[in-house]
Amino acid sequence: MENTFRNHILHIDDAQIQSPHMTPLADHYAMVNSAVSLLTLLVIIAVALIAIFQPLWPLPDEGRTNAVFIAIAVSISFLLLIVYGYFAEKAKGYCVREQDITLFKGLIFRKIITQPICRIQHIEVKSGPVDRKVELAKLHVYSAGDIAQTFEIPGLPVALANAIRNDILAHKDMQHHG
Amino acid sequence: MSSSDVAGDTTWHRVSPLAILYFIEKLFVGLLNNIFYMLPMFIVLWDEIKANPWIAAGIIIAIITTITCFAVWSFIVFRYRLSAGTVEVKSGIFAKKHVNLPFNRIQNVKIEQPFYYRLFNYSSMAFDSGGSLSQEARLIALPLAFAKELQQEINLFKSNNTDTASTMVEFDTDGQVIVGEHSSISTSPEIIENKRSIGDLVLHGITSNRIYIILAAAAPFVNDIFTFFGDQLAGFGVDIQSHIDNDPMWQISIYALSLFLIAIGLMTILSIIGAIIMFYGYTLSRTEDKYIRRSGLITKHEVSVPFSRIQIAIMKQDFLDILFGRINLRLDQLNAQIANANVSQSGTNKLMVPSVFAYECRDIINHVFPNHQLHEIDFNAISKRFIIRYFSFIVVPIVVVLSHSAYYNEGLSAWVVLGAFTLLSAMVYGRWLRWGYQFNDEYIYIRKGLLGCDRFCLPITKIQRITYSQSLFMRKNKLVSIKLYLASGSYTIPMIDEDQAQYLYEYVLYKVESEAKAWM
Repeated sequence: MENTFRNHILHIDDAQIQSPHMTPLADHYAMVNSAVSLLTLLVIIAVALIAIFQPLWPLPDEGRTNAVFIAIAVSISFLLLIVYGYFAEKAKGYCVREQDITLFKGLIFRKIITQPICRIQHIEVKSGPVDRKVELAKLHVYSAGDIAQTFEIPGLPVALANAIRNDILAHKDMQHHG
Repeated sequence: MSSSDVAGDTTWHRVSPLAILYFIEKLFVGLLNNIFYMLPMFIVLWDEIKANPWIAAGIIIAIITTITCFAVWSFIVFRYRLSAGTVEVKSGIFAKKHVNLPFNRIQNVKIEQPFYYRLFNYSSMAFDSGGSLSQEARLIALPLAFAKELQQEINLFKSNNTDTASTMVEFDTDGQVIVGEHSSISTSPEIIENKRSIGDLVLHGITSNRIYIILAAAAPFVNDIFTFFGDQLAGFGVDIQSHIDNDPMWQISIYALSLFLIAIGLMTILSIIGAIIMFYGYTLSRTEDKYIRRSGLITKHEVSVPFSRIQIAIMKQDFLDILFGRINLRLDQLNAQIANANVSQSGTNKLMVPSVFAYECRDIINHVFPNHQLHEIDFNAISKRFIIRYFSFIVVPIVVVLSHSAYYNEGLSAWVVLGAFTLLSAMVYGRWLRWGYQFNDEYIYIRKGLLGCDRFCLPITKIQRITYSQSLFMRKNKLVSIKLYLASGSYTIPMIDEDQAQYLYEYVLYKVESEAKAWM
């Protein structure tokens, strides 16, 4: 009965592909994201070093050595996390089709999360201070139910994020179905 | 300003400066919530504060000034717009937020009047879109008359645009104005679908542990109870310590065993009492479009659930239920909205029918999900690699640790290790045996459990979102896990054949998107 049902990919040149096809996020997104994490880590390391070596309440020598070791170990593990995070963000992608929106993610666990547009409750385009500097935005998509699991596509150029938002809002099922 | 004026226009409006009070309150509450974490700092600095009260006062004034500044700033950036059946709200100082909520997505409109608005006859409106807490839109500092007008307009809009009738009986509490759509067929006669006798409830008490209800009620008196029993025992001349010190091992074991049995017996009795308190006089009635559950010994609860709101039917059986051939049937509706509305009512989002027989279960579900086959469906097994995965990631590490300590310590014998190994392996195997899934063109069925058995039946058209996931290993073995999100929660089908999963994924999307049926 639904002969008119179509689900072509939008916001990509080749509009004939039917099954979701990953488009990577903005090129500089993963880099910016890791840079911010790295900067935060450096600030924390600096604070930790100041705390360890400050002359006002000097630590006992043994305590100082231990503290330095702990700081190094923690920094290395966070550094590894940041490296992992870089590749994890690099691996993310999305696909907007006529009827649904898909997020691809995961390095070890590959996940394809698809949100039908007729089930979207509302959408938000968010951009924090850093995002605004590099002209990126996050697209938050909310459906009913699960509080913990929201659907978010990061690292989209602002114009594209807004375009996707407007497309979704203009979708006929967003207009008519409750 | 009247709502009919603004309904069509596209300019952004600012709210009354009274909104500043709202932001001050919000920031202050946020600060108070975090003060718990700052307590250690206060304790450490207490002497300093006492020595220099002026500095402390200065800091407090600085904090208050900052809060006020932020509140004013928040007010300045707060804009709203009502256009063509949509509420749009822009807010946020650092992280800009733009909420866009079409009228027909709004499930609830709440008008709230905190004391500082009541003085000026202002109010704030909260729009609940039936999803998570964070997606709630809020309009603040509106004149009360305007808020009421807008509320009516939204209702009018909704009643013109939706044909699904539903009621909001279970949500209106604490005197707030809550408006839902009104059921057009609420006059249809009630038919009693099911009743539960005391015998059923006793059985339910035995099979499922309802002791927590009693414990929750007794919690404030726990200390008194323990002191009371301690004193009583001492009064009888029982000195536990001296028995432990002096009696032979076998005697202590017998004490322990009988204590354990007494405890089990007491718990069962308490559990039965709990079941009776909760489900006394249980009736499940049905009108044309909803189920109404009435039960309760002390407070009578009435929960009414429109069929259209039910997302999933769950047949739950514990080990003992299987033995007695009974089933606890649960019909779940929305998850988050209840959490939104009222925490103390969290029980009402689940329509529970305790300890029913399979045929009753089938009939009850049939009114909600016609032609379901949950009771007779043949489930497909999931991949045997499930066993390998849990064997290698859970059983093997535990057994390695145990054998290591058995080898180096004399306390742990090889038999214990062997026993643990057998038990764990049997559990993994049993779990695999229970996992099952099946689907036809309308419903997806899932079965899981270990000793017990839970069976799920969910209509494909109610699915909100779907996840298709594969680890590296799974990709090599052509296996996929599917996770289905409903408004009532998420449900997983682990490790099934890739072709099947691909087909299911595409079929679910096609069905949901092409039919676009209302999910509530």
